[in-house]
Amino acid sequence: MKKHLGYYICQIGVLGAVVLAISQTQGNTLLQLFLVLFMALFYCFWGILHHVIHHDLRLKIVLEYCTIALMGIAIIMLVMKGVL
Amino acid sequence: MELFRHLFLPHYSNNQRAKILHYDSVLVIAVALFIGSFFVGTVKKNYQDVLGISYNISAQDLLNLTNQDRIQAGDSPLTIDSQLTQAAAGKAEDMFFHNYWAHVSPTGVTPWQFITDAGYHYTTAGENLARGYTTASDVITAWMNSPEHRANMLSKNYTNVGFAVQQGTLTGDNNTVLVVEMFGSRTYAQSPQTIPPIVQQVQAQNYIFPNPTVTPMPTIPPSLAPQASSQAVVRAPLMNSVLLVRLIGMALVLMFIITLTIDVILIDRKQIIRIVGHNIDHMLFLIAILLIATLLGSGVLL
Repeated sequence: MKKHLGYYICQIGVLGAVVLAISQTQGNTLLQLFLVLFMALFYCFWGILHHVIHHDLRLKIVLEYCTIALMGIAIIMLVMKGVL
Repeated sequence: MELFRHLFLPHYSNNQRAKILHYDSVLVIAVALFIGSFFVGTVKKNYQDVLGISYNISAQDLLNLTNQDRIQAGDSPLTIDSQLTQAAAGKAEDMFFHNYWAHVSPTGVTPWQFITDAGYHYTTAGENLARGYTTASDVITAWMNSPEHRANMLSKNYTNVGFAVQQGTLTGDNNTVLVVEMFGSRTYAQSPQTIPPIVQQVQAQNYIFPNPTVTPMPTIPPSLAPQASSQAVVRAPLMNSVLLVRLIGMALVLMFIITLTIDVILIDRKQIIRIVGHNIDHMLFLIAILLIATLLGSGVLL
């Protein structure tokens, strides 16, 4: 866990910044959707990069990150359809 | 019990990884959610009485709550003025028609022009705007929590108020409820031809316009103006879409976060080595999704 600390701090920083940006852009649905897409892409890229660095990247892992990112986007789209 | 263990706990039946966390299961859930969002959007659009956003905002409730706060603060209550109400309705219609969210329109029309065009001549005037709220008390609470809007609401300079509550599409948001609150105090011995406004002030933005520009007001065709009443927007569909989607989204995210947490604990305890993604990565991402799902659709002030 300790050897991954810098990696996780960076991830928390980016995810936190996106959440903050979304809270500050209420009323601008398109920008909020763009921020969610950016966050999902960053999560995939960052996770895969982490596995590349540790030499344990497999196709199954790439698919795992991609599908969870897709599910995150789908949840936000569902919420947007319901609340906006 | 076997099925539960297979779906949610690491076990030999699922190759030591809860089945729900396998990428094929996640893909199925993601596709189901995309179909669900399309379904919700369609039902919400075509059957608003069945599935939609519940609203209950009326000018009378806004006035009562504003005056409650003023009385608590030791101020005199405001009285509804028909000309300020007309000005607020004009401003709301103009915002929907020109699709903007600002105190000053893209064509440079200030709030003061709506007030003077309605025939109200003032010494001081102010404007508060809100959108995306579903009850009058939410609107008033939000304004009272914002120092600039609070200053407008509790200002001793105002004696009259006018409200407009209208529903429409604004800057991409469908069925947004827009609330316009216009404050004012009349000039003494009002004579529109001889006494121009002295100082015009919006405390919500701390603007002072000593020399307002007079721009011709755009005419909004009746067919394009929002059809909702300026006095109240009340709707109670069979099912509140906000509650429904938030419940589904949050329940799903929480289920994944709990499953991932249990997975971390059990695998660490059993010392099993697997080739999978990092659970903490997934948990951080899903926590961010949970926060965003909570934030979306909150009201906005101006």
